[in-house]
Amino acid sequence: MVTRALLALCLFAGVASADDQRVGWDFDLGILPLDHRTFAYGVGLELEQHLAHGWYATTAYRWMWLERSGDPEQFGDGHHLELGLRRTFASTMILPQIRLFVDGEAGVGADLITADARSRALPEAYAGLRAGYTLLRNHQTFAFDLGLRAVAIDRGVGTLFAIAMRWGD
Amino acid sequence: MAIVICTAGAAAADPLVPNGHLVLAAGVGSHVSRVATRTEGGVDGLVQLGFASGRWQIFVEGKAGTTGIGNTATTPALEMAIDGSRLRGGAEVRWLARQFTPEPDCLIEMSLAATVGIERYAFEDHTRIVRPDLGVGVGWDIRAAKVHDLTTRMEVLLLFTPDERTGLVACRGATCDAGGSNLSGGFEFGFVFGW
Repeated sequence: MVTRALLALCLFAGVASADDQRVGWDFDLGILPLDHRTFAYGVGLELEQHLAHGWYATTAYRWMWLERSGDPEQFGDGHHLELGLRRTFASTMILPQIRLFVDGEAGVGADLITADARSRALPEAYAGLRAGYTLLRNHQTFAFDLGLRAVAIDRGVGTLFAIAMRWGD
Repeated sequence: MAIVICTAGAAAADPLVPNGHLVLAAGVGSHVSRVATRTEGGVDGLVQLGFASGRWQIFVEGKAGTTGIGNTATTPALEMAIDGSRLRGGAEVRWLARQFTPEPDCLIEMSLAATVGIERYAFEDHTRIVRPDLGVGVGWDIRAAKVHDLTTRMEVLLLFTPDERTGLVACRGATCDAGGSNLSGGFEFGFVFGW
């Protein structure tokens, strides 16, 4: 299901205006409520497609390193897929080529977590804020932002902090 | 996979400033991975040398640095800490995925990378571990294409290695070749200056 949605978004991105696509990557760290508090570090690829009136459809794949301190320490890793929406709440041009923004985002995802020698799939929902700047020149953009999101899984709610860069054409 | 395909598809149609013909870079980095069910990490110095054409770069890379088990930034101080050294040699292919041109002679770029290599760990308790690795990654750089291709690059690689099933205690004083059927993932960070 998620794969089909990703491919549909990919095809839609392929026929839409190139000005409306953003591709980039992020680095994430935070705490997930897996077994007790688990530290998570991740690297992900992001794809965004403009829909209408400032709304973007987003998708991302992320690989995560998981670790819980203790003696012995417990660790694992995970794959994460997500689909969501993103919208700019506030923005301002501080120079002709630099725009500051605050975006909101929300969506659903799925994690395949392997830890303590067993694997399990976890659905999740997330919501968060991203704030940063966009450089604009001709029909190109480059955006850098910091994000904070709440991640809800069946065992509770965690927090992820993200540093992201995206290129738009 | 779909995201990578989209990245490739959208970028392939764009005009861009190609890479120079030479890859010559040096820098520093850090790494974190798992060795024998424990977390190890350290810092590295690195050099890269190779060729480039269009969107592609292919080069060999050498790294030398430290490793520590039980004393890394990701692991709280444990009573048993083991330090040592780490060497890595490998080959890497990098593909220029996106490019932003804020000024005519300045580029902000996104790259995708794949690497294969060999790691050698030498711990102070005389444990020796040699293991292959395979990785993929992403990068961000600022390049002055008209000034000798001067580049400042940050790269993050996900490195996967065989997951040793034998603990360090059992391997002490011996050479522990990597074995087992599972892959264990880790990170490598690099910050390099290139020409």
